[in-house]
Amino acid sequence: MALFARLLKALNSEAAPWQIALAIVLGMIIGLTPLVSVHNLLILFLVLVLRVNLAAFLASWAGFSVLALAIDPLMMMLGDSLLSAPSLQSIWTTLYNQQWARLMQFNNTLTLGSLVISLLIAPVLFVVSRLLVVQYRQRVMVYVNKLKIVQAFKASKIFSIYQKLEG
Amino acid sequence: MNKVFRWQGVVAFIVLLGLLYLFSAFLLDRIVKYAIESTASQAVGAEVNVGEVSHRFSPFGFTLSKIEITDPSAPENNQLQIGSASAEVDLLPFVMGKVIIDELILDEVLFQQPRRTPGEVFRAPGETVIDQFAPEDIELPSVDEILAKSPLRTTQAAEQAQAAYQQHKDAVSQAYAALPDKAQLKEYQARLKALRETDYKDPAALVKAKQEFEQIKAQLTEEKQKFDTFQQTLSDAKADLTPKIAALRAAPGEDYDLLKGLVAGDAAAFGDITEAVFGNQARKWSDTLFSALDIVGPMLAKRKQEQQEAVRASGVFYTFNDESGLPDLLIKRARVNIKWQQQTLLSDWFNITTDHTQLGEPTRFEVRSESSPLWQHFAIDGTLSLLADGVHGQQKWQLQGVVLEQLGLSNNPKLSALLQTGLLSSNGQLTVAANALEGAGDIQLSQLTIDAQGSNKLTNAIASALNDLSLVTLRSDIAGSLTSPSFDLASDLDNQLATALTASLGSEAKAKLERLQQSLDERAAATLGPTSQGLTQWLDFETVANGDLGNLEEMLKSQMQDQLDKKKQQLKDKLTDKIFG
Repeated sequence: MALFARLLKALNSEAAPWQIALAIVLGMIIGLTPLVSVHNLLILFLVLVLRVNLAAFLASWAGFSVLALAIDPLMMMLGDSLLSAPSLQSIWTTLYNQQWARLMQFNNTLTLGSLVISLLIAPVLFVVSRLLVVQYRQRVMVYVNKLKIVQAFKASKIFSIYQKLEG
Repeated sequence: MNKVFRWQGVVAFIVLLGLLYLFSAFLLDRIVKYAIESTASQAVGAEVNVGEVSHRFSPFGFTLSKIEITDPSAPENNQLQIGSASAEVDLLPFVMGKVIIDELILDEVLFQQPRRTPGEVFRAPGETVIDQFAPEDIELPSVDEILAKSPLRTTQAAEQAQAAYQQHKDAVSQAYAALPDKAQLKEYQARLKALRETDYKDPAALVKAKQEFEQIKAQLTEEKQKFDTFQQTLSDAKADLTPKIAALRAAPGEDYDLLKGLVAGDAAAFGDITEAVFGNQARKWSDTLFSALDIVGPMLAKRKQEQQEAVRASGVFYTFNDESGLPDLLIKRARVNIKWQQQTLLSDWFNITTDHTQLGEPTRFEVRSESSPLWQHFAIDGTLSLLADGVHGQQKWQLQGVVLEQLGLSNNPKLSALLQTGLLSSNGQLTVAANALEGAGDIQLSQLTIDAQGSNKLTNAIASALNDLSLVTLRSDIAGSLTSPSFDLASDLDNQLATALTASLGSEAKAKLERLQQSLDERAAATLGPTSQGLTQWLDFETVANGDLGNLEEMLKSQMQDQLDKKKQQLKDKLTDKIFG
């Protein structure tokens, strides 16, 4: 419910579509990849420094964290096949001997697999999210706001508490 | 620009990093403390405590204070106690998962210190010989008890001589019985003489006589074969029995020498006096000397094992060709400041690692100290390598003139002994190959002043003998494996005590000695008599047989050739006369 409220608030806010789309992308990366990773410190820095929508970021992070539980084996399989690919061995060996790369834990199957999937999805997700936000606002938002269930939800205690918390 | 960037976000990020720093400052030390205590406790098999842990970021490192490692065999003591340990860790290799420590400093290292409360023991150490020694059971035994309990050489030699005599007796008798008697030999002799001395006029009679002669010789050859068999049987029997009879004759004397000291005490328990009086202390010395291998080895091995387990936690970490040439753990140099009896020993360690194959050289350690009020010379050095097939290494030590004072040796209710003063010298070496230990060392205790007290006749005598001791040489043999070492002590103490006790126990001991000598002689005589008689009889057989054999060989040498030649010559002369008229 809180996740839905966050998303609804973000979509209905005055935030630019790119701010919501980028927030969803950054939330996706931090959600899919292992939380305690150096690259997530960079994601957190971007979230705080760029004017991305925090509500959308939190909603995306939570949503993709749940998705990660299901697709972890798939991401580990990808990482495994990449790290064991004979044609890539020289690259991995070079990286293995670089301190920054070891700090990134590139040689972990889950870290590499999830990061590669996240980065591959990121541009597509950004474009699609931005398009959906624009389309939502133009076509759906007015209609949705008129729905009794949404009006009831907006009148509920949860939504008001959430709004207070968000400031 | 402000539409894209949120400058207050930078502040928020810095605040977040600050929170992370505070988190580490408050919790990291506790996490490290817990990790060290639990890991080391598992490795040692007894409770390990760390007083405090503090870390620093620049330069990155840790300082630990008051590390206590419980002695599993004496939980009221710390096997090892370290006042403070400080290490600076290379941060860049550290982020690559490698712990590279340029210098580790351990101060106030103490061995066998009492704990405030007994430590918990997770793995009980194996039972030692000292645990089995029960001097409270020692009472003066009788001569019969000594003889019954002692593995006497006399008894053993008698059994062996008896067995050898029984084994050969029948064979020798049968071989002798098979020999031709004198009458038969005389008959052969008479027949041969008759054949040789008869004047044969008829050649046919001569040929017949020749055939009979050959027949007798064939019979004589068969008889000779019997003599050969007898001689071989007798020779085997003599070769087997003679040394055993000699051993039996000597055994009572040897047993007497061995037992004359033990006449005052229990043989089995007496043999443990060295262990009982000096074993515990010698073990403590040896534990101290081998601490390097005992403590560091299993801990490093454990660390290696846990690293492998940690990899399995989430995802799989791939490893590639590491061009850094660094092992996962390397302490390039460690300075360990050992405090012993108010004196300081400096030890230096080089290249402590879990991966000697990667490093290409072993861990080296040396403890050295020149003359001090407590010793004249102190040197221990060695190497240690953890290879695929286990621990390899060697250790040598040389200690001279180590002053010992007020050292409790035995605190048994019936025999207490306190070493008031003395000098300890020791040297030896230990080799470890694939976890197997092999080594030996000598411990010499000189200028001894021992205050020993007993509570019964025997322990009083032992105490008196200990009080008179001035020099003891202990020989320790080390074997077994690194995880289960065995440590045997031997010394001349038993002999010294035996001699001293014999003298100190006076007339009662003399009476017992006489009875002991008598009992031993009786035991030997019981077997020696019949066996010796048997051997004497065999020798008589041999003499007789040798005489008969001489006659037989003479007969075999006799020939009919003279008779034949004579006859041939007669026929030749006869023929010549007929031809030439």
